[in-house]
Amino acid sequence: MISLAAALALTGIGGIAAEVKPQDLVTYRQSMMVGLAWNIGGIGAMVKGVTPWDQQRVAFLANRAAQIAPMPREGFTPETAKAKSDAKAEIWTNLKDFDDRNDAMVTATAKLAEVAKAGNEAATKVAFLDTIKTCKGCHDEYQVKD
Amino acid sequence: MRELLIPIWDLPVRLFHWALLVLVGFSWWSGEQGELWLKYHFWSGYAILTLVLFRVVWGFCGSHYARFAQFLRGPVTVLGSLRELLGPQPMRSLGHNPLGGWMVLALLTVLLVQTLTGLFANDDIMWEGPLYAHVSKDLSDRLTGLHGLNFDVLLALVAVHVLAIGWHRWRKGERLVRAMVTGLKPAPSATGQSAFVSLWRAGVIFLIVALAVAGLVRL
Repeated sequence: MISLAAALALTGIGGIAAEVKPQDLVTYRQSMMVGLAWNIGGIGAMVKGVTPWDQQRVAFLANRAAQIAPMPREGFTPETAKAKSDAKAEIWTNLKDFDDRNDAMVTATAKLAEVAKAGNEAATKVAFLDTIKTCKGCHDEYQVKD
Repeated sequence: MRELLIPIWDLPVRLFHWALLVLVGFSWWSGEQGELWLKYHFWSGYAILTLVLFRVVWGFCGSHYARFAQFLRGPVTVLGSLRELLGPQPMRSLGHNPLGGWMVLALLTVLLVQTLTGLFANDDIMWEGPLYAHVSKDLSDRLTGLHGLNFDVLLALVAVHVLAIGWHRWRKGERLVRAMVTGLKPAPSATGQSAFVSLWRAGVIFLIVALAVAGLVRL
């Protein structure tokens, strides 16, 4: 993790992904997805009824999720195909489809953030379910199931 | 000519079998639906685990034809029964025939693997099995993968099971579905009839197993 941060600091962030080690890119994108899961999962616990529904908290988490959502994509470069990860090789031969699914996820989280901010619990739950569909939609196709 | 209908499958075995059919079907469907259906998928899985564990115990202290010792035979016997299996007459064995006996064991094993791996599984997003906290994410991911792969094995075994029941019906004239509903099978004589074990015993075992599973998933 420290070497990744150092590499990014030295090369300047963004646009110089080609100079970062492929395994570091994998670590970066997985970390972003964990961050996404943290916020989405937090909303999920409320949707499941495990924790009490708090519209403001949902809006807060959804807003965070929407900001993180575009971040993992930057970690998916063809060079990372040789690094150790859960990404299927099919991504690189189906890049347009992969990007479409990623865009669907980004759009869905943005919508969720909007809807959550508007304050309606039922509508928020619907938007939440639509969002997690997009997570699954990509994982089912392009995530290696161990 | 088989005039007599004699009781072979006791009520616990029959209830176990048909409840399993419903629950496995529901677990399959709810697992495919995902999202909020996973809550019920978990419950269905707990129920299946309870039933399977019950059946294993029952295989040691249940009625005569429910016992593993009664229907599990060595490979020589199994091979020896193949000609009888392929022929047009009903099997002489009233309970599970030697090959069918091993299928029972295979199905129970695969169901056990399915339910146990599920306890540790995760979906990367918002669902975690009840024992997820006890393993690393890496191990959970591998067990989740196994949960998926093992299901394919289960489906294949179920397909073979159904085809076999069809074979017994259409080739050999044996109505095994009816037998598993009524518990009765046609027999040439009353030899081989055995009294069923008390239902209280089944009830107590089931209760203990259910409590154990309930305790396990709250661990």
